Amino acid sequence: MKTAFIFPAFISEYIGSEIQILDAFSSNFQHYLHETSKITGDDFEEFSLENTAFTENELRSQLISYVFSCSLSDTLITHGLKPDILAGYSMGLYAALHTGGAIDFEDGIKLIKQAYIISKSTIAGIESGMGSIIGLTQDEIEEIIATYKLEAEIANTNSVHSHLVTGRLDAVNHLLNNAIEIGALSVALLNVKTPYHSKLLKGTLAEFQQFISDEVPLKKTNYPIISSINQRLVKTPDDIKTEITNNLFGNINWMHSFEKLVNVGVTQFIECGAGKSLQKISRFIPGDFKIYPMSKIKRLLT
Amino acid sequence: MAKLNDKMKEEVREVVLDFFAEECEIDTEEITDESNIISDLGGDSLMFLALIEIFTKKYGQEIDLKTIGKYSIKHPVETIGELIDMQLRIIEHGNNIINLD
Repeated sequence: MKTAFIFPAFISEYIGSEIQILDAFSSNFQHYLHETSKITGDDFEEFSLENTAFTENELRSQLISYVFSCSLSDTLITHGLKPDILAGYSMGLYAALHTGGAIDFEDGIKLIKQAYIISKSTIAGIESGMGSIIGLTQDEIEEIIATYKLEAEIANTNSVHSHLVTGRLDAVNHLLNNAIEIGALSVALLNVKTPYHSKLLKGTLAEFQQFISDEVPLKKTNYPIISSINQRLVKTPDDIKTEITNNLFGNINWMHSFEKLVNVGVTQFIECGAGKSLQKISRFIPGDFKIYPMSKIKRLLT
Repeated sequence: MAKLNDKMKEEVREVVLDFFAEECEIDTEEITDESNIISDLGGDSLMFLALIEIFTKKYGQEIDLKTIGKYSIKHPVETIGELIDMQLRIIEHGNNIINLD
């Protein structure tokens, strides 16, 4: 049986018992909150699931997601549950890199923060955003984009009928409205002001590459990581650097990554993060596998 | 399209309740027709999509999702009871659901 650890990007919703679950198995979560406070100068020890100062702030929300993911994956590995392969959903890449031993915890925090700063500076003066469309295919969404010449694109394909879109805010809104008109089951504008996985962020490349070269020592991974952009296996420092930088502006395809994991024999997926967003979106992919979100982790450790 | 009988109606109810109980990690007894899918159960549109897929496979239907999307804009679903009714209408009328009032 092969096991994949999969890492979410943002936390769309909490199940409510994440902190108790983590604290029951180790002190990793509290330790990493403390470390994150030290590195960022922001008091992450004030974090609670109800504290909107963390949950509704884009950067803090990414950092908290990283803390949850690293805490859980470290705990699992300490308890003898090791992955055969790793996959990060969008910004979940950083936690996958930490778990694979390619970066230490502190460098993950630095990368997330710097990616956010460079992204913001690259799109300064541009109103942008992301949205979700449920119920249309990739072709149907691309037809709307082409028809209205929208500065928007598909950021991520979660499954045949579930996509994230990204781009200029007016274009994303236009796309969402048209999607509903032609029969999407639902659309939503996400609480994300940065157009991740969009051409608008291509200008981040050189500066982010330089930052990594100067500030972040990358090591070969202990477990292969599947690229969410082209589904190749990422192992070496050079591969990792390319994946980190391209992950900001490249379109990703979670469905293809997940299918590849199933095809290489993964039957057990462990969602290393708060909530269970990856379990929800991955259920549409055919195959004989089980996904364990954090709420079901006890079954694997006891 | 399928002609509904009491057994099918009961099957649909059972599948919907079991699905939400599993997804929301609660007992089926805690779910009633009046349970609000979002505020009471924490459900979302991906669950709606998953249920449509479950029933189209179960009853061998070929459904154009966009038809259901257009119908659900005019007939939004908020509770479990409304969702069960919607699934029954999809099973009974298939793509002709769009022609219903």
